[in-house]
Amino acid sequence: MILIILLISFFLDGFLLSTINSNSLFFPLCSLMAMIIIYPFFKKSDYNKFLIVSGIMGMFYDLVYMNTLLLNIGLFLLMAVIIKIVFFFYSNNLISNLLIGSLLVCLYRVITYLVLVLGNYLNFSFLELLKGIYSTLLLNVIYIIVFYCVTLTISKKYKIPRDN
Amino acid sequence: MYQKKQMKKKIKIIVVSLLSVLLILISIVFIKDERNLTFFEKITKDGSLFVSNIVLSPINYIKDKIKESNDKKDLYEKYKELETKVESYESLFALKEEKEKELAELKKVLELNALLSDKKVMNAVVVNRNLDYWHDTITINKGSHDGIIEGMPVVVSEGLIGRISSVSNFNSTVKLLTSPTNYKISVKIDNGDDYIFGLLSRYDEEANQYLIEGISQTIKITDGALVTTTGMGNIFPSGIVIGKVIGSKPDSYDLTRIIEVKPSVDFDDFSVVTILKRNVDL
Repeated sequence: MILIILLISFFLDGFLLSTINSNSLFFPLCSLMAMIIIYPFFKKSDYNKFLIVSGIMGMFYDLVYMNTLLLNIGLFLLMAVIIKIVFFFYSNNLISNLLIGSLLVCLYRVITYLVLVLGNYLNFSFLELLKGIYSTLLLNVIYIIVFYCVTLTISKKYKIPRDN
Repeated sequence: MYQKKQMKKKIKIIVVSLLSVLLILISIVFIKDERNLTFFEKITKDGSLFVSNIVLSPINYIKDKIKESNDKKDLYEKYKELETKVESYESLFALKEEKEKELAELKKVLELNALLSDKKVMNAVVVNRNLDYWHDTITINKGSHDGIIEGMPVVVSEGLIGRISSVSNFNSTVKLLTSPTNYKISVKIDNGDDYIFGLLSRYDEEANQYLIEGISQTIKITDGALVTTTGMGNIFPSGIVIGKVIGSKPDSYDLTRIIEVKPSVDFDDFSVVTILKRNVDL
């Protein structure tokens, strides 16, 4: 189940990136959102495995889509920590998933932008940063809603254990 | 015992957070436009794109069919438009042949082995695209195995789109001209009787136009003038279309003019590209 969600999200990212326009409001981050979806399928004692999966996902995202080295590994690991902390305070439901999804999208775009500014690649522009955030939020929020409902239905039907 | 476990968990979270921040900071060093890919990166990228092509082939097939049916809707108008263009092609073709003969004779007389405009071509399909902040790049299905090397210019039928920035065995990454971290290109503006030379410095995303800097205030450039590459700088062959002039404005110091150029290429709509290899090295 976890592998299927990760593979679908990863390839969906590639498909959407090659389909959307450069000024689109539907910039995908499905691979990152998949981390939120798969987290409840890990037992509390298997958090190390979740971290390893996040790191590997980040590595593939780096190599295939971003041409960067280590950036997305670090980002995905950081997001994995944030997911654990948020799920410590909130139970796993649709609203908490939306909250975490929005938070992760904002953090991901902010950190990526700051890395570029620090590396002297871009001059800081708050409007540019805001544009990056809002162009990424919409599609990924819809993605979380759809995948949450689908995985909830499938896990109930096939009795796949899931932390709630 | 319970408190020890809680402490261990907290320490683990802090360590992982610090490690991830460290990795992010180290990655700043590796954010280079044209760094050489490591062996592992090449293998992973080639393998993932190969699998991605197989997995997405049904979806791409459906997407192509939808595009085909949309294109068929205004087929008659397009046919009429092409008919008028074809009538003028015969005379253009005859003129082209005559010019090529003249060029061959001149090369013989001047004992030139190659010109700045000489080039070989190779076609490739776009398999992936990245539109993030700094990586306005595409991935094509040709790599070092096909003779691709870094720095080769990439064009479509309408004009120049970018340059090869990194190469793996079977795929290559093309950095587009619309990328915010771009390179300067030596260009010439066809101003009727003569050419005006300048430097294409950047792409303005909001206005969707290139900006050419360093043009004197005294020179008059008409709107619609064609902008092409000069062939100088050992990167792009001469004569590749960049776009057309749409206006100008003074620079911040009011000493020179900045020429605004509308790109000839629609960067949201191409699936096949051509890689150029120069025949002459300066």
